Amino acid sequence: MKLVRYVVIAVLLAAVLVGVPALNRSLQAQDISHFKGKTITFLVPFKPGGGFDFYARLLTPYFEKYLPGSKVIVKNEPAGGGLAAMNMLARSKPDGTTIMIVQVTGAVLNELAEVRGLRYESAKFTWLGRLVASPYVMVSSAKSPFKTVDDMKAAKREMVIAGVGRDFSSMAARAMCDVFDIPYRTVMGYGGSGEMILAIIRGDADISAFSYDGVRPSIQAGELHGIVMMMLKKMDVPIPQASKEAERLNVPKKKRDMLQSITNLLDIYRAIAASPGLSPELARVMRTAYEKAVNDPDFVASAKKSSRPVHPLSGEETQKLVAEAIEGLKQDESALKMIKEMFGGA
Amino acid sequence: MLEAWLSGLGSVFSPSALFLLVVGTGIGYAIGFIPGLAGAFALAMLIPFTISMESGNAVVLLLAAHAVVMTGGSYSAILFNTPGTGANVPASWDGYPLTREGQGGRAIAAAATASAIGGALSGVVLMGLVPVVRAILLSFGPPEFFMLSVMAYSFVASLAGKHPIRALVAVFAGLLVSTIGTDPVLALPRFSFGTFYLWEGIDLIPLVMGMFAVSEMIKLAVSGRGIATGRARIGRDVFEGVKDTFRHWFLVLRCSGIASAIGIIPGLGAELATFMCYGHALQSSKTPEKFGKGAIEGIIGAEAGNNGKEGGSLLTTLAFGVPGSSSMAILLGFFITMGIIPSPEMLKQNLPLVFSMAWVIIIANILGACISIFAGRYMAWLSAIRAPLLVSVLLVVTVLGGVAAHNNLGDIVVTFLFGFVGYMMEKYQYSKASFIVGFVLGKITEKNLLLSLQIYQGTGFLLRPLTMVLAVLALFAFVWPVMKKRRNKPPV
Repeated sequence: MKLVRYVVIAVLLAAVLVGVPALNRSLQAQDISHFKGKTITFLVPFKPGGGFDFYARLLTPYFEKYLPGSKVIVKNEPAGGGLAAMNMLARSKPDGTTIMIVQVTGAVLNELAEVRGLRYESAKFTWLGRLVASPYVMVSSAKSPFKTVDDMKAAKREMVIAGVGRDFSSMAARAMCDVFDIPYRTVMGYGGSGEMILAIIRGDADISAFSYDGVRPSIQAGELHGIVMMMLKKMDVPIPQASKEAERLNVPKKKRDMLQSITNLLDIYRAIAASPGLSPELARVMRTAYEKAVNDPDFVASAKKSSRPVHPLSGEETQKLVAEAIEGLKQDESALKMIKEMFGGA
Repeated sequence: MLEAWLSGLGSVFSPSALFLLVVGTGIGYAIGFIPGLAGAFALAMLIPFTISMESGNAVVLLLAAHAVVMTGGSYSAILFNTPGTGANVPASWDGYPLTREGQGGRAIAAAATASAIGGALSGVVLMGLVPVVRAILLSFGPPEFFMLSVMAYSFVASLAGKHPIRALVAVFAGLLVSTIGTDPVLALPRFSFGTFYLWEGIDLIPLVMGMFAVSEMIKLAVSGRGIATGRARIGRDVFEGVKDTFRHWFLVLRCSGIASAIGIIPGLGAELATFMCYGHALQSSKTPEKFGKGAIEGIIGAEAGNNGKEGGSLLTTLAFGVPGSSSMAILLGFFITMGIIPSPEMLKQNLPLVFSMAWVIIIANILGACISIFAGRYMAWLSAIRAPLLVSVLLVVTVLGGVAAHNNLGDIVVTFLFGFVGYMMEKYQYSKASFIVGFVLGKITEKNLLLSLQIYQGTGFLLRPLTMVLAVLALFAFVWPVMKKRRNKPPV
């Protein structure tokens, strides 16, 4: 009898050892085949031609490669400053056929400001992974007398900040001025970062803040000067880190916390999201495909050739970062007040 | 400098580049010709094909297509009164009346020749201004842009014709429609009626399609006749048009100059350049009463203007990365992809590249004109086709064009809504041209006025020397037509 029991246990064990991976494999195969013949809509919340559009188009063939049999179509949906696209993603069926490249800063700030007509919750999307983290740098004209935070504090007049209006650039600049106790006023209505940079060089405005990768050419060309930078980790650039400056100047803790919760957002500047409520299996398949796509040597090479940085991060971690950044801002009263003032009203 | 000039020319004349130049010109021309599709669409469509290309060749293909879009657009504006792009609207004001008189071939040839010369000169401007672009660009700020846009309104007065009050009403209606969208300073939606579609404002292309193409089709359908009332004589006409342009060579030169200057300034756009040039042609004409009824100078000025703008626009895009139009924004994105990062330094270091771009613009423009002139001999017959047939085909093309370009149902609603508005305006003699002027200029004027008021914290910006010079010029532009009329009157 004992022998029979051993045999039964051995057979069961063998079955588990052989069967589970096989079952797993078949499940996986089933999931990838889920995309065979399916069309995936890749939403871009901006007009064709910009950075987001570029990244989406660059990624498209690699999504198709790692989700075999699928056809990925880029759809530009700029209405409502990208809010329409976010709403579309929120309403889409959780079958993996709608994905979007999200400007996380804008999406989260509009959400926290409770903009009318907005029908999404950023934390509920299925985040497939981060694409780019972007430090923001406050700049002045290379010819301007304001080269450091101390210069600006010592100035006898308000700093003039250039902005588009409800944009993250002017918001970051205002937040930094607020943290460092620098008086400012704004000039809003420029048509984009290119026009803002020109306005600073021309002297219409003193400062604004931009994603570091966007203004690096102008800084290197000697047109602009980097004053201070919002970044999570110290980078190899001769521009002081905003949080370190705040420590040096003995800024009250409350304001330093606000700086931190806004800086946290920059860690997930551009990311890829899928519909909310994706089944865990489908989420895993799509996250794996995304991870393979952004790490594909050809993708990395073409992004590098175009001087477009890529900072991939896994879907799970991105999901966590988004949730944490939102929670952090919600807890931070002064940050929330500022966001409502700058992004609210719509 | 000379070395760069030659090597730029050399790179355009390699067999593969030359082939792509011809292909690009053909595609750009066709897309311009189809009402509703404009330069941005041509570029967005072509970019995927350039991914595997060598970067120099890709630049040739895209620029060639971009350079001739408005040459193609003038063709449909003149023959069918359905401007291919927003900047071709003025060409229809005089071109279409000429078509109705059976002189379509002549009008097309004049437009094509003027486009070619204007475009080619803009290539020359691109080469010549590389050393000074920075200084020019930095001396113009929002106060100057504001004044330039004010100047552009002046020619509404000359468009008014018999009904100045109705023209004024039309301008203000255009201004009002331009305020739909997002407030430029507060960035809050205005008159959006709860739809995200209107957050972006009304797009010029579906508006123009409706106002001109759809309303024209309603009219044709109602009248049941073909466009040309006389029998279309074409053969000799075409060369007459070429000759017309050379007869007015100084006008072409002046308009190219105006357009280049406007092109350098970001954000003013091809439409404003074209309006300014049309206005200039009108104000400097010996026979201003003919404008709007078939003045060849109107076509020549406007078409030299819209193609003439591109060299300057490209220069600003390359030097500062500030795109002046949606097409330029796409090109800019593409340049960055190709590792061409815009900066004044880049211009100096990559002179051969910049010069080869200029050569592409020059050659593509000449090729584009050849298409118009040679096809013009045959295609002008199209205008003798029976109305119902033409209406149905054009309507389908217009709608498909709109859908293809933006993939948005809202655009189709706008197209047909303004088609009806346009038809009514024409019926009751409210100038559609004035409406478009108000609509296009409204945004530019508002944005730059508001920026100026913020920068100078009040109206102090009016005292800037360059602003004052432009203000005087604007005043002159308003008063001059009146003065001229007085002077021409016989003394009582």
